[in-house]
Amino acid sequence: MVPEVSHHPLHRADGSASYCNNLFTILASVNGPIEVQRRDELAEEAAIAVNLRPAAGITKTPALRMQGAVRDVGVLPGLVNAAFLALVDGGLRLDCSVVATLFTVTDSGVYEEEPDEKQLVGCKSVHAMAYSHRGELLLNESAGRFPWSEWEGVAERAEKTCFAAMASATGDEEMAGGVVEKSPWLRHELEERARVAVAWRETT
Amino acid sequence: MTTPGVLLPGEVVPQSALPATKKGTLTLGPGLHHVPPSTISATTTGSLQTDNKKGAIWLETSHGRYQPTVGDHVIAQIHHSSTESYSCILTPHTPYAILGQLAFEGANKKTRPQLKSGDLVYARVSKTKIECFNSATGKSEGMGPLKAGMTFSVTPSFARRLMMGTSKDGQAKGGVVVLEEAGEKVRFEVAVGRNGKVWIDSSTARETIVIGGLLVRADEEGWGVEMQRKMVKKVLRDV
Repeated sequence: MVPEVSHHPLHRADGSASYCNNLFTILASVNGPIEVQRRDELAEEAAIAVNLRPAAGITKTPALRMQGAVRDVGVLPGLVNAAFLALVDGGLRLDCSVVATLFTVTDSGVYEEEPDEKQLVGCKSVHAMAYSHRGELLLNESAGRFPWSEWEGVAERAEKTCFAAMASATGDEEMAGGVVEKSPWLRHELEERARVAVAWRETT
Repeated sequence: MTTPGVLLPGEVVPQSALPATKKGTLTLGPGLHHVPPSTISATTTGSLQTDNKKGAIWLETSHGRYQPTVGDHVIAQIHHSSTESYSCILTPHTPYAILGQLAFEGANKKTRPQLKSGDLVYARVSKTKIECFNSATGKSEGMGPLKAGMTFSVTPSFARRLMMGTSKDGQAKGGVVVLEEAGEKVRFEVAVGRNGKVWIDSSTARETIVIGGLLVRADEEGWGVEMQRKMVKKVLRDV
């Protein structure tokens, strides 16, 4: 399953992306770097303000909405991926690339990657995980009942999924060790855009 | 130019891609970050470009907001005026750029230009401020207030291509020929700011809008040189 991505749908934002997976369609926009409000200023730290707005329904205060989103594990990977794509589009300085993925485990212990709505409702536990391109675990939120061994199983699969999304052509040999070949969708998306940006060089 | 490789944020630039110079120095451009002792990693997505003569390496990207660099020519809008200086907008939501009241050619307390909020100036980025004259020579070198005309927004990378000029054999280095082609049909004045603004003034508003619209479309739709020629001819036939 390859998510649908469109780059820079919002012209007035510094960076924006829309991201559509089995469950959600998310529109992310990024503005930065900007001056932080005096009361939020910490001299040695970067400040990031995050706003989540549902497509329908009343808007809550940002803090309440964040709490709601973190509780709803299912939406997290989409939010992370959309935010990352928007950050790249905005050209903000990033330390690493990140991909998030969602896994569910059924009663019978079957692991499902990127579940659809039905699978999400019928599952026993749900796990949102994000890995950087260096293999660091950056997001780990789970809900439901599950033993430790199951979490480990998910973590192992999630790491492979995330790596596959960013895998470079040269890294394929390492990835091929018994793993089902998945398309490096994130690399494709970003490379395509980078190519378009320098297309004029070839014609001149 | 070597074949461009595309890097994702955080990925390390392979040692083999670094340009070798006689002096052994390396100049890092936008999109790259040096982690001592000898790691160079990308901070955004872009294709790696190198210049072996200058020992320079940078990431070429299409996206992102303009980041001011000393020496860049920009189009700034006056936001408000104070006794010593004007506060100007280069890009939205960023701190104001400071333009001294006397940073114009031949300006003194009595002859300085009176600018209102909303007025445009063509200026150069100096170390901490922007200025409308070359502080070394005192000459305006084409900079100063922009009167009448209109501005159009393009991406910073397109603005950069517009400013690349032409090579010795008359080819546009940046691959943009819209202005040259349009210039054969209509008379207009133009100023390009690295912050992604193009100011155009001509005898009629209609011509100004048509030329600006061509530039914006060439940017957004990524027209090649041939396509640009074709569209300019097609659109200007009706003007």
